[in-house]
Amino acid sequence: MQAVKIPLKTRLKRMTPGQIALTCVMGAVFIWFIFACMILPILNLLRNVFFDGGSLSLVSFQKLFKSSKAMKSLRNSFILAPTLSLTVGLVGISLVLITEYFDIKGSKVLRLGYMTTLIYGGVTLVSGYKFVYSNNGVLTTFLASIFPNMDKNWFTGYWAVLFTMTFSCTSNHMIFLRNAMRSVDFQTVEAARNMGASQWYILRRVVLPVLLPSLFAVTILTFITGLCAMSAPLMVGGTNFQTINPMIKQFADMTTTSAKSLAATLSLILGISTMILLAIMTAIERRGHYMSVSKVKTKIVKQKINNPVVSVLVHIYAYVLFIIYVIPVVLIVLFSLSDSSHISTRQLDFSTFSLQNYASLLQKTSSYRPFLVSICYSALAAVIVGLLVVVACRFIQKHRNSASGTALEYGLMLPWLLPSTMIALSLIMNYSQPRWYMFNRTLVATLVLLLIGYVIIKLPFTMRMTKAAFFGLDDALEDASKNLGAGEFYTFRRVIFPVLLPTVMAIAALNFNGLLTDYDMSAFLYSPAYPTLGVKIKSLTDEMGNSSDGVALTFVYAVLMMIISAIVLYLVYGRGGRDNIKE
Amino acid sequence: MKKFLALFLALAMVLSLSAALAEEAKGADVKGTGVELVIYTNSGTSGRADWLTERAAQDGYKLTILEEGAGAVQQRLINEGEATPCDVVFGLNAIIWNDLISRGIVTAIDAPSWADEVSAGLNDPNGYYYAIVKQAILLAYDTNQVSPEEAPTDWPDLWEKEEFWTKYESQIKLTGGTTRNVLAGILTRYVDPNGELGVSEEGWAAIEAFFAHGTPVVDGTDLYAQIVNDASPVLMGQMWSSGADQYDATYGTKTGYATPEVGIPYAVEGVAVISYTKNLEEAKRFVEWFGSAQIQGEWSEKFQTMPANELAADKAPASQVAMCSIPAQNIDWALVAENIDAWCEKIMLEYMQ
Repeated sequence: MQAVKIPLKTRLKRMTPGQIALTCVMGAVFIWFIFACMILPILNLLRNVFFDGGSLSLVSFQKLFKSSKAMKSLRNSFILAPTLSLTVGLVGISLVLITEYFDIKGSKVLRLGYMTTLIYGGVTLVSGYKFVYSNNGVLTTFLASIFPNMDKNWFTGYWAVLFTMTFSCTSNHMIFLRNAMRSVDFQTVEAARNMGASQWYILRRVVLPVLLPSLFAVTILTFITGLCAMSAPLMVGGTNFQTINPMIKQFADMTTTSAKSLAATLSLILGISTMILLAIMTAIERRGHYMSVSKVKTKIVKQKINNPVVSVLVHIYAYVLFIIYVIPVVLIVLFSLSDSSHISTRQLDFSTFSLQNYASLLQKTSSYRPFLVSICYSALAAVIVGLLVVVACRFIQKHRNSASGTALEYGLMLPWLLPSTMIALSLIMNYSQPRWYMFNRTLVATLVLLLIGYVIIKLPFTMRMTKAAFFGLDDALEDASKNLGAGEFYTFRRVIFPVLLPTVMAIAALNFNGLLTDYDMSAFLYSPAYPTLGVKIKSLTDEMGNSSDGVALTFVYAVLMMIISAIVLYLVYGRGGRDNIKE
Repeated sequence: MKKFLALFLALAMVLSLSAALAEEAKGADVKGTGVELVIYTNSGTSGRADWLTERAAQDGYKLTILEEGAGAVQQRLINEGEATPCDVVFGLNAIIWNDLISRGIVTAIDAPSWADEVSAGLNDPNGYYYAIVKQAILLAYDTNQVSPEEAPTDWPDLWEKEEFWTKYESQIKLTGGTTRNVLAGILTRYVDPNGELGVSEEGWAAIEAFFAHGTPVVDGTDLYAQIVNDASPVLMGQMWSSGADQYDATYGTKTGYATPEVGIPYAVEGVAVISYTKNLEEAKRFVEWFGSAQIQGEWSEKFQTMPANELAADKAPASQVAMCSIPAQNIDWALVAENIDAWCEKIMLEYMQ
C-alpha cells in the first residue's frame, strides 16, 4: 500500500475524539520516554565529558590519532565487521537452507545443534571454543599427538576471532531468516520448476528475494556485533588482533573526565558508523518491496538435492557444522562438573566430576536469589520493550516517510550510539539528583533505574526486528479487515497482532535471554539489596575476593543459564514456531 | 523533613551520650541498634558478604551488602553522589581511598578504639579510613619451575634482564586493583614534578620496556593456569598475597616471590563512613565493631586473609604472615590517586602491546 500524504487537518477530522486523545497520550508518553530516559541523560553525559571546564575539548581526538594501538584496534574493528557480516551471512543462509529448504537426513537434530548459540554467548561461548581449539584444547592436543611439531598456539589472531564469531553469531539467522524462509510461497517454487528452472536458479531468483528484508535486518545486527566485538578478540585475538570495544570499556571504567571523553569519542565513532549503515540499509529496503504477492500461501515442501555428488557434499557440510556448533556446548556442560584447576588448564578428567558445585550453589539463598531478581527484571523489561516497540512500529508503519515516523524510529535507535556502560553512566549521573522531568525523584538505588536501563539497551534490536516483521505484513489483511467494517484498534488487535505475535515473542525471548546475564548495565544501576545474576557471576572471578572454586562456579552458573534460556525458547519460540506451521 | 532530621540527630546524640555515660563499650562489644546499614564492598565474595551479614546480625546490626569489583564500587559512589544509599564502605585499596577522600565522599571519623592495634602506617593519618586487611602485592613465580636463585629480585629485573623477557605476564586491562598497585610501585620510583604526568622520562622508558617484553595476559585465563601450561612461556607475574595460597591449592604450585629492597606495595583494605550517610552513629558503631581484633580474627580465620589488626594476626595462616612481613614500599598514595587514571590512559594509548 502506498502511503498517501493526507493533510493533518483532514486526518484530524476523520478521527473520533477518543482516537485523538489516545494519539496525544501515546505521543506524550513516547516523547517523554525518549527525552527523559535517553536524550537528556546522554546529552548530560556528553556535556560533562566534552565540555569539561566550559569549552569544547578535542584533546581526545588528538590523543587517539597519535596512539597507534587505538588506531590499530579501530581498524581491526572495521575489518572484522564487514568480513563477519559476510561469513555469518553465508553460514547463516546455509543453516536455514539445510534446516528448512533442502531435504537433509536428520535435519531436526541438526537444527537443535545449530540453535545452541541461542542459549549461550559471550565469555562462556568463547571459553567453549577454547576448550576445543586453544593450545591445551581437545582438538589441539589430538592434532599435536599426530603432528608433534605443530604450533600449539595456532588458534589466535584474526582468523580465530572470525571463526569463533562466525559460528556464534548465527542466532538471529536461525530465528528471523528461518521465519522468512517459512513464508516462502511454495507455489512460486513449483511454478518456476514447471517452467524448467534449475534448483540453483530457483534458489537464487525465487527463494532468496523473499529472504532479503530479513537478511538486511540480520546483517545490520551482525555488522554491529562485529564492530562491538569484545570477548572473542580479548580471549583469542592475541596481540595482533585486538578490537576497539575492550579499550572503550576500560576508558569508560576509569573515573577521570579525560578517560571518559576517550571512551565517548571512540563509541561515537562506532555509533555513528552504525547509524550510517542503518540509514543506507533502510534506504535500500525502502526502494524495493520484496514481499511475495500470493494471497493463498502454500507451505514449503523440502527439496531433494538432485545431483548426488552435491547431495553428499551438502550432507557432509551440514554435519561438520553440527559438530562445530555442538562440541563447545558439550564441553561446557562436562567441565561444569569438574573443578577450577581442570577447567582452567582444560583437562577433561572424569575422576574430578561431581555435582558438588551444583549442590553448594543451589543450597545458598544468596546464590539463587540473583536468579529470581534477574528473571523478574529480564521478563519485565522484555515485555515492556516489546509493547513499546510494537506500538511505535505501528505508528511508523502508518506514517511511513513522515518526519514524525522517522524521528520516532531513530529516537528509539539512539542506544546504538553508545555502549551500555556509557548509557548506564549517563543514567546514574543524570538521576543522582531530582529532575523535574522525572517527577522530581532521584532514581539512584531505586529498583526502577535498572529496569529503565534494561529497556533502553534492548530498544534498537527490538525495533529493528519488529519493524522487519511489520514490513513483511500482507497489507491485504488489513484492507480486508477494514472493508469488513472493523475499527482501527480491532484490526490491530485481532488481525495484525496475531500475525506478528510469533516474531514478537521470539524477540522477547531473545531479549530475555540476553538480559539474564547482563553485567554492563547492572553493575552501576542495580539496587543494593537486589543484585543481578551478571553481577554475581562477575564477582566470582574478581581478584582478591575470589575463592578457588570461583571458575568452576561460573561454569555451573553458565549451564543453569543455558537451561533457563532453553526452557524460555522452547516455551515461547517452540510454541510460536508450531503456531506458524499450523497457519 | 528537616525537623524530623533535627529531632533524629538530637535523639541520636542523647542516645550516644547516654551510652558514653554508661561505661563505654569497646570493639566487638558495641552492639548494633538494628538501624539498617547499606554497605558497599569489593570484598564480599566467596561467602564473605553472607558470613558478615549473619555475624553482624548476631550483634544487632542489620546490613545490606552490595558487593562489586573495587572499580565499580568507586564509580558507583562517585556517580551516585549525595543520593547514594551507602553508609559504610570497606575493602578497596589506598589508591581508591585517596580518590574518595579528595572527592569528599568519605568522612573523617574519630579513631575507633582498635585504631592503635593496626600496623603502623596503614590507617589514614587524617582519620578518613582505617585498615582492616593487608594484601601484599607480589611478583610471584612457581618454585617448582623457577628456583629462588634464578628468580627476579625486583620488578625492574623483568625488563632489564633479557632472561625474563616473555616469561612474565603483562596486563591488558589496567582497571584492576592489583595491576594499579604494581604500576604505582614502579612509577613512583621515578617521580619528577617536571616530567610528563609527574613521572620522569626514565620512568616512562621503564614502563614501555615493562609492557614491551611481557607476554600479554589472555583474558579469562589466570596467571597460574598459564604458569602450569607448557604451551605458554609465562612463568611469573603479579599476585595478591591471599590469592597466592589459593592458587597454590588449586594448581599444586608452590609460590615464591621477590622481596625487593625498596619494599612492596600493599593493597590496604580499609573501612570508612560515607559523608552523606543518614545513619552516622550506627555507621560508627559498626566500624568500631567490625575492625575489632575479635571480629577481624574471626574473619581472618574464616577467609585466610592477613588482618591489619596486629592483635588478630595470630589467626592468619603462616604463609600470609610471611608474605605480609615484607616491608612496605614508600609510596605517596595521594599522588598516585591523583594521577593513576592519567598514567593508565597513557600506557593504554602508547605502550600496551
